[in-house]
Amino acid sequence: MAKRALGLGQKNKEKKRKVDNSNSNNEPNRNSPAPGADQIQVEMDENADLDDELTQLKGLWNNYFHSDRESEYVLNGIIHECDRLLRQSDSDEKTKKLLNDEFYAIYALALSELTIFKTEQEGEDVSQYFDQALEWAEIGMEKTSKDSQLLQLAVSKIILQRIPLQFISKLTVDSKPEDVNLDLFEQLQRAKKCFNVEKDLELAYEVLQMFDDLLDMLENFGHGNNIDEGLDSDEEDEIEPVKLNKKHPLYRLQKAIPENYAWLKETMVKLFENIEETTLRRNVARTLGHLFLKAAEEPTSVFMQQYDDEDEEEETEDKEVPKEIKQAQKEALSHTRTALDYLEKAQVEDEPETWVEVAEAYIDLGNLHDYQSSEQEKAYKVAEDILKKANRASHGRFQDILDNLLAKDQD
Amino acid sequence: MKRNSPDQNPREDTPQKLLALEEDKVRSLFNPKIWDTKFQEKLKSDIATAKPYNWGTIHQLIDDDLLRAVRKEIETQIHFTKKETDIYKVNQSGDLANLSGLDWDDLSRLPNLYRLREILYSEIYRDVISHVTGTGKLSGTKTDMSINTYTKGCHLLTHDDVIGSRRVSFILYLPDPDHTWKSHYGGGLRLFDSIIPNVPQSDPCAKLVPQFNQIAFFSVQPGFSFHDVEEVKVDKHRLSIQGWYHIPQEGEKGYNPGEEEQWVNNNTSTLAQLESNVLQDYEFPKDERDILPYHEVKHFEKILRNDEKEGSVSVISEENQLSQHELDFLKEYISEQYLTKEGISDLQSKFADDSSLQLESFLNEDKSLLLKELIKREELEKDCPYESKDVAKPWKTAVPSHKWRYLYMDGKSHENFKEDSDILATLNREELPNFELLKQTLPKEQEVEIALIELVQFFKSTIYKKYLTLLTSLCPLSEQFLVRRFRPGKDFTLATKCNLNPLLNQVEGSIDAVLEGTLGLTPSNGWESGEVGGYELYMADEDDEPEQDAQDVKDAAVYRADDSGDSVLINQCANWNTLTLVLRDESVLEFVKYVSWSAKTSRWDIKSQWDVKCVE
Repeated sequence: MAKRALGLGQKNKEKKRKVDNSNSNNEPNRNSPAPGADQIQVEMDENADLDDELTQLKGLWNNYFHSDRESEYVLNGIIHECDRLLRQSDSDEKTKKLLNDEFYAIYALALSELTIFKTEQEGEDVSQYFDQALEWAEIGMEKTSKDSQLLQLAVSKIILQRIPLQFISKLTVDSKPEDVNLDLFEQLQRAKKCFNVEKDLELAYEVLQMFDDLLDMLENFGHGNNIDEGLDSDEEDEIEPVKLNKKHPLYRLQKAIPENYAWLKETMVKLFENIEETTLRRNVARTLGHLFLKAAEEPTSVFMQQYDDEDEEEETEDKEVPKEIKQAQKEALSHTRTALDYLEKAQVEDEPETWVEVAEAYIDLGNLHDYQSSEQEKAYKVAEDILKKANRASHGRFQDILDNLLAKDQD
Repeated sequence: MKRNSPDQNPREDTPQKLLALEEDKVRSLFNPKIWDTKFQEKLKSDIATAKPYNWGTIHQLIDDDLLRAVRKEIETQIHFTKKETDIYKVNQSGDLANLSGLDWDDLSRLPNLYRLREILYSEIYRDVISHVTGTGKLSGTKTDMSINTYTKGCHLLTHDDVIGSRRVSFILYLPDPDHTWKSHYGGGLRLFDSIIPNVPQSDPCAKLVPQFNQIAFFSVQPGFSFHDVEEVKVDKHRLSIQGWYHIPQEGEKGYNPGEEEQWVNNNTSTLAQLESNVLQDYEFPKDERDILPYHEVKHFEKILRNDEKEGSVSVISEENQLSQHELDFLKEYISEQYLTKEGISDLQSKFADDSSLQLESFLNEDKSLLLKELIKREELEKDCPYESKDVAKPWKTAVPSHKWRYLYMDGKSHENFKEDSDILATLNREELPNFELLKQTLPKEQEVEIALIELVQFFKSTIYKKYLTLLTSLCPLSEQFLVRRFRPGKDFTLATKCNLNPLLNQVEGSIDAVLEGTLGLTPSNGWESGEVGGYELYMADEDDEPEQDAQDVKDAAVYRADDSGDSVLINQCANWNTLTLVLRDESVLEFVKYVSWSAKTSRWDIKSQWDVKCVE
């Protein structure tokens, strides 16, 4: 006779009963991991030599690099494998030959990444991991080539990971010079010097993003709690940077923010020009768009000042526009146009939010043109059309931006 | 997770425990305007004429310094935990009612919150609320409050707050005091009118955009006081204190012996009513399947019996494998990997073991690509109706909105209910689904609808049902197909059990379970983590155990959740082209989680159900 079918709920109860029974019979504990549960799958290139130990290590590293990076377990595996290969190379010439700059870069980067997990664990001193990471990068340069661009880039990344994690996170506005045992300004200069866009472009982009984050952190230093409240795009409150004491460990870094933004923009453009791969190219273009919009912020606010002043004063006809305002307008327009250019390159066909970034840049552009000029009307119109299209594609998600723009038209 | 039964009973304080503030002090901690008779009379009249039911609001209710201090205390002293069930996602704190039970040390940690609770339950203030709402006396000893913060993505779906002896509900809002809370942030309190008692309209008819130090309140009206909390759409905290005033307790002014018991007996929560099927006629689409013709069923029986072949001439062979003709037909839509002899045999044994199957890439590549392109284009290029009045043929809105809301096609006539008589008229002309007819009436521009209807027609075919018979070793007796679209920021289903068809329980071999299939047709990504909702969850009903109190009342506004995850049987995120087949018995609850505003597209699927029997 056929077995009577049981529904999902009944089946579940039956299975639970079976497990309970087997547990009471001193069967293996349910909590012990199933065989193979601690294995991970690594995707390799089609042409990869799967027996090659370095190829395997690279596969494992790539797997981590492209994952959500939540597995300390995988990182530890990589580091153990590096240790093992090093030991093996002492007695085995073949292995010794395998250990090229890529090997040392993986070792150094993995050690540096490990700090992300170590900061969460009490009593862990992350400095030793960073020191070791830098040391292995340097040993790698000695053993392979002093000019290894990959190892230089790795050094750049380790420093940029170290400054916020080991230092800034522990500093307050009142910190003293002795709270930091490294010259952070010099460290950042070294990171910049080591940076290059010669070999691993994906890693290079990650390093520049970390640089960008660092500048952002420096700008907002001392404002931690306000950010937690959740700032929203429609807030126009500008946060004034906290002025630091000249002896503060971050003083020089904070002073150098503008020049570092300039370096970042310039370097990011170089990176962009070297990329052919579509997704990475789009991501870099988007970041560049944001950087140029940011560069436009200051001249924009100088230019906008005249309208604020007009509100306060009596309106005077045909008032001469001061030269510095015209200059600011020119500068802001130029940055915004460049930003627009990059944001257009960053658009994705089925991601309306990428179109909206373009629309918002058009609104910025419109704001910068003379009031009610044909250029202004044109820029607003383009923005309006994009927003309408994006709204349709995204269940009205951008309605407030559109409403704002239309209200502007009616002013 | 699913809602759970309440066990957080409101606290009854003994009066001597309270550190009573003097009346003058209480007065001084409220905005003086509320003691003004003219203000009270104006408010009373506003509430009496408010739409959709009697509700009111007061701006700047509490002394600003006190409320800012309360907010600071909450921010620094209270821990919030994110909870998610079928009906809400919210950050909850502990129950405020225990405040007066704290020792002095703990009390000193939250002195302002303590004071706030005391003035909100003070007699003079209760008398104002009682007067303007016209509800009669309110209890000062049975206090009942909780603190919630709604962050981005948090929401609470439509419910009516009916539980126990609650008489008046209130929400005191405490978002950032220095910034205006804007409408597009979401987090609004939305009120729903009702078509008939206990059946709320699909869309809200009033929305309150909450500001710091604003209170909203309404008398709890069984069958009418439907409201929800709109999803918060931005990265901000909408902090609020939610509370209720109860019927006076023994020893209090206004206490009437037996009043509370009578009220509780008369008014079970509408959600409990939903589950008890009182309102089944007013649900659309119906959780019911249409019985298949016997000439079709008999072939499936013979396939499963596998011993007596008559060699009947029909569209399907009675062999327990697919003929070339059947294979060719199925190949039109289904990936070949699932059609091989070995493939079918693997699935058969897996289904026998698990009572469920998950078939990824179910439709073949050609059909999948074509359909995905169509649905994507629909999403990107066409306006999607967001209010039920705008929903046009062939789509309809699933009602009532405190059970589910989504767009669907069921192969029947178009309807768009506005009032009771519309529903009654539909009930008076029952019809069977006819997808072919529906397709013929559509203009060819409605490409996506036509393609989806054709897919349903394929699933309704006798050959597909033979395939299903082979996979599950079960004989289908009835069927229902729904093409569904869950819109971001709008749609969901609450957890329910399946309804068996009583007409079929006499059928020999019939089993107490329904076979259910969901083909995911969501053309976007970003659903895997479940953060934007849209996942379909099957879970064991913990209340199903016989020892559980049979009097448990399910209630939407009781904030408890089963976060252990133990009871989850299947959690399937919105996806492209995975067919989930489940044999669902009556102990299994199922729901599709509310789709967040921040989801890239709607969740699309085809939901199918079959009553089945075993053939021995």
